Amino acid sequence: MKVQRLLQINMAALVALGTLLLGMGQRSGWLATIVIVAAATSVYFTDILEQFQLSRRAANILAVVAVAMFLHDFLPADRPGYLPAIANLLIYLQIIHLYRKKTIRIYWQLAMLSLLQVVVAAVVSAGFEFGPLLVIYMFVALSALCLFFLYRETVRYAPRDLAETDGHWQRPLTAPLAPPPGRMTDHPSDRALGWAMIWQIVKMGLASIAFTLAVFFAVPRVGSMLYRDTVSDQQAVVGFSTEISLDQIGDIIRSDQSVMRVHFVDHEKGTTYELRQEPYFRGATLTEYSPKGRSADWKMAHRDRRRRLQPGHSIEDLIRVEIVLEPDRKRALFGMLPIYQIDESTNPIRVERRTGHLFFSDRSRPKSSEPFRYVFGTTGFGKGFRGGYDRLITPLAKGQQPRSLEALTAWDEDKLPLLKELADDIIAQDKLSNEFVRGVEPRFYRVQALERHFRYNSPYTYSLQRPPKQNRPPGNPIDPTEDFIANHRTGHCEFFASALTLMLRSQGIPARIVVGYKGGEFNSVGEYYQVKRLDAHAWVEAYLEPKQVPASMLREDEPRDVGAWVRLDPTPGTDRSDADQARGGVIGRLIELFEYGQVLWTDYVLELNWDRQKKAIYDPIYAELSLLVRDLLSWEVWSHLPIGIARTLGIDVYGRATGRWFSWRAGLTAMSVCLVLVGVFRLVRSPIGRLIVWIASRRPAAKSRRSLRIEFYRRLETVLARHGMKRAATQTQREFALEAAGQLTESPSCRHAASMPRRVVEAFYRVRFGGHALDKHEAEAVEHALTSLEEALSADAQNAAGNGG
Amino acid sequence: MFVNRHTAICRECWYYLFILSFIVGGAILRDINLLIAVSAMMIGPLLFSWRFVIVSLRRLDVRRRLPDGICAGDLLVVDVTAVNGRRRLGSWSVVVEDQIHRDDTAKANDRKTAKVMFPYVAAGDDQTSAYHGRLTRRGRYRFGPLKVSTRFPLGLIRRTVVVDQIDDLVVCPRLGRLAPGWSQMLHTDRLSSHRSQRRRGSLEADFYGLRNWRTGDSRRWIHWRTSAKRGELFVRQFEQQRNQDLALFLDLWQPANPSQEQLEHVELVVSFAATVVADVCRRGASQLYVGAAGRTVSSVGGAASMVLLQEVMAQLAVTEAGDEDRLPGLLDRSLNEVRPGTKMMVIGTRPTTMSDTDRFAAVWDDPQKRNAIRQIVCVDVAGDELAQYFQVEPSRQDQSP
Repeated sequence: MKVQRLLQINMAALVALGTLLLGMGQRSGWLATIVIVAAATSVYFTDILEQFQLSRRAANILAVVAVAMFLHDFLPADRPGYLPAIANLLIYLQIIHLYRKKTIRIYWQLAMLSLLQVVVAAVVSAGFEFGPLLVIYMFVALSALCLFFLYRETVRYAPRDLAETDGHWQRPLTAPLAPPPGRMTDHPSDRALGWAMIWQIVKMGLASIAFTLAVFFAVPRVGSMLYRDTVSDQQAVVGFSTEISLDQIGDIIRSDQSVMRVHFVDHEKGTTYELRQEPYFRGATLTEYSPKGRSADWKMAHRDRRRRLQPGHSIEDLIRVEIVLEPDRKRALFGMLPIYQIDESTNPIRVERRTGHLFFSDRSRPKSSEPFRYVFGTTGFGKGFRGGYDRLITPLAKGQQPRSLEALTAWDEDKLPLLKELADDIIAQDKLSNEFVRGVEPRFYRVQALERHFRYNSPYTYSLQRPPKQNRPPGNPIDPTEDFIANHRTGHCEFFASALTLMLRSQGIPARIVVGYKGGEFNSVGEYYQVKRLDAHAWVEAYLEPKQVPASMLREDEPRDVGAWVRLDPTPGTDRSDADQARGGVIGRLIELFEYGQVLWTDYVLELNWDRQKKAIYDPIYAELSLLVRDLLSWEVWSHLPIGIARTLGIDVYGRATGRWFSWRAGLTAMSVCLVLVGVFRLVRSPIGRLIVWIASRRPAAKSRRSLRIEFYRRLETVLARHGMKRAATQTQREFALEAAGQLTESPSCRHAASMPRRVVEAFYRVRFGGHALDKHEAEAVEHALTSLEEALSADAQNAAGNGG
Repeated sequence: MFVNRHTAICRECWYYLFILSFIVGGAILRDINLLIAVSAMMIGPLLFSWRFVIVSLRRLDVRRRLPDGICAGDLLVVDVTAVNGRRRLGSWSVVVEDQIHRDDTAKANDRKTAKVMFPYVAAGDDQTSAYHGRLTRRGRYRFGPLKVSTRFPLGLIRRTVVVDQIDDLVVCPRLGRLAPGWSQMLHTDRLSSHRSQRRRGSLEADFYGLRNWRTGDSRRWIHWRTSAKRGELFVRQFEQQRNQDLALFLDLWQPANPSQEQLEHVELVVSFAATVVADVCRRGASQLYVGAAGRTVSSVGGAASMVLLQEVMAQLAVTEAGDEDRLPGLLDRSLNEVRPGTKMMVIGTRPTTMSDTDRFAAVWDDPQKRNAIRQIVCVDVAGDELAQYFQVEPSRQDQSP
């Protein structure tokens, strides 16, 4: 049976899609892969070939095993672990059911499990691809349900065995009444398949999508988000840490999970400000280096007082930075120096002036499940000939000087001799680094020389792989930073930053590590930077005394009597300019579109809330409707509309230009408008007619009963009219019946039915004018009369046709 | 024809709504937007399904066609035709339910339902399907109303249209086979009933051939076409038949609380009589009289013909047994109507003795009827003698295709 085969395939596809959705949500591909393989093999071996089918007992045993595995995962798990355990149980059960002989019960269970999978997937999924896949799933589900229904109906109305009857006289009223097998095809439901059915499923799917969109965006979100925290725990955590540990890093997996979205806007012009260089988003500064044998940690300094941002409205060349931070459990804010407050209405944030750390204010701290928006201003970008470049040097404002330089120059020469040795060599070889001006050491050039050593002129390579094991004995380990510069010379940004910081300190230069994000991908569609987890970065900031800051690096309005921080990025090969070039063309555009889609998905689907609904949906619709109503009620608009249209078409309505009273163009336009109006009327007329019929059908029941009662007279007129007997407008029903009887008498085959019209009309008079309801016998008599009349007229028509032939 | 329409939620839909309520609840309580989307994706098809089942049955005309007449136990085939009057939309999985019940019974469990499914009726097209079965008891059956329903596409919502199309069907008594003893019984008495053997006119006899014209032949017998072809006169030959006139009196008595065996005896009487009547009417050329004494007394008679057969069958189909002895009344009324020389037979559910002057006092008191009652042959279906005349046909369902 074709329906059954299609159902088997469809159900397998449904199961595979449901698991795929779930796998995407869990970011786990292996179970989804197993189910897809199981779905394909079960269709072929279990359903088509019927070579492998789990017996009921085997299925029950496997189900018990699945439950045991579920309990093993579920019982020790915390709340976030419950859903994955449940999801896995659903998958185990589905695999078992796929290999069973398909019965209606099994199909129900498969469909139910698949639906539950989608529900779980909806809870844990955040990816944009969930949307398109859900739509595909819906179409497959509708198709599967249609086929399942047809299959059930086929089984339900299958011809039965007729040998059930007994042989006695006093037997049941009837023997089984069933469709005869000989009169129908073996599988009648196959007739239902075809393009017409596919089209109906497509229509149903499209209508459902339209309904879903309308409901989704129209239903106001007034929820209290009571349980969102537990739900968001399922989501992956953004990988930002306020500590660096140089021993734990094995192979690092790059994650493309989104961290934040950043808009740079020219505060004066209001236009998007696109950088020519990758921006650095500072998260935390690490000052304390703690070597621990083969490992070492970098930690933050003691917390300072958190203050409001300084107002920056009056500052020139201010760049407005708008950041939307994705949900995260370990929430940290990112910014850049210097930082100013420019928008009072957005979420307030606080700053630790000496380090530049940003913090939530007490009022603005969000729940970990909500994205967080904040805005600040900065002058950290050069303009003019350097337009759009992130500045290397950030002069300090008052109160931002480091409280103590000791912590920034902390250095243990005994433990880290190789670093100082190397730094001395590098500086000694660099000419600029040794040219003292007025007795002041050229610190700016020294730090740049050290940076260049790692970044450009050295055998160091950037790698996310685990560093090779040390050959030293356990009792005499080497510091991981020294091991890096002396031995393997391979590592990620934290090794480079750590090495440079320590080398700077070995030269007496205050330095600290900054962790945060670098760069991000600029999306030209949405004009924003998409910063992902893989953009996490560590770099170095070195402190310059006021005399050591090159004047050319400062703006004219910036003070010369304060120190400055120089940003140094020693990690080689982290510029994304090459990657940006590779992303050009159609593929790059597609990637950008996909990323923009992800943003829209997050903003308007996952995180759609009342404020966003109001701003993006309700308010525009209300404004448009208000405008429309105002225009519809405005006489002025209506009076000027034809003339406006004519002018738009270039028609001189009053003939002022030509002086002629007739215009061909105006005439043609008027004719076209009339034709369009006629067309619109014809299009609208049918729905209006249907509406009137629909309203009429909703009248009180008494009226409809009455109309039903006299339906038999309409049928009489229809039957007679079909054979050329129509009631004239001047005839009463009785006169018409008499005339019809006369005509019927003339035909031998209709003679016996001559009295029937009269009988029907008499009944009609009783109902229509006498208010009398026909009882059962009267109704039967009328029905009999009409049937006899129909048969007589049909026979007469056949005779006439036979004679004619 | 009256039409009643209604829409109902199926059991599967309640399950569907149950699951949906959980998802909606989860979406609201946890404020998870994707669950709201999933909920809407479940509600959408439900609403579409509701609209679709309503539209599916609009302008869908369903008709039933019954056979002209059948006997109990015969195969009944009822054609059902669905005509889709719409221009665009087809109808899927349309189920037509037909109600069947005997007219004389008020038992609810005697009401049976036959179902026919139309997998697909394309727009502007018509499809004919059929259901079949066996009506195992004689009587007048009423078919209808027709219930037309569909649950397509998802099987969640059912739309039903009840079309008050009522048809009647008379199911005749079941026919058996006359044994050789029946014919012998008729011919045994032939010599003693010369007067009843009527010579029929040649035109009423069966035509069997042509021969040359002989002197004395009627001109009406000349076959003009053959004569013209051959160039000499030819006349038609007829087979002369002589058949026995017959009067059957059915004693359909049963006690007030009959046993299963007694009920079967009643059916045997009726079946035997119907078989005899069918045989006589098929042969023709005789007079037939049938009277039944059951709950009521009824009789019908005339020249044996197919018309009479239908009339008698219709009467036998609805004849019911009674617990009163109405046979004497029937005989008293009927013996005057039966021609002299007619073979008379009483077929009853119990032994009957015509010499019982007490029971048949009214007949024995009448000198004219007294002679006739002596010639009546009595057959008790409960006794062994029935087997000489009549055999019940084996169940026909085994012979059906």
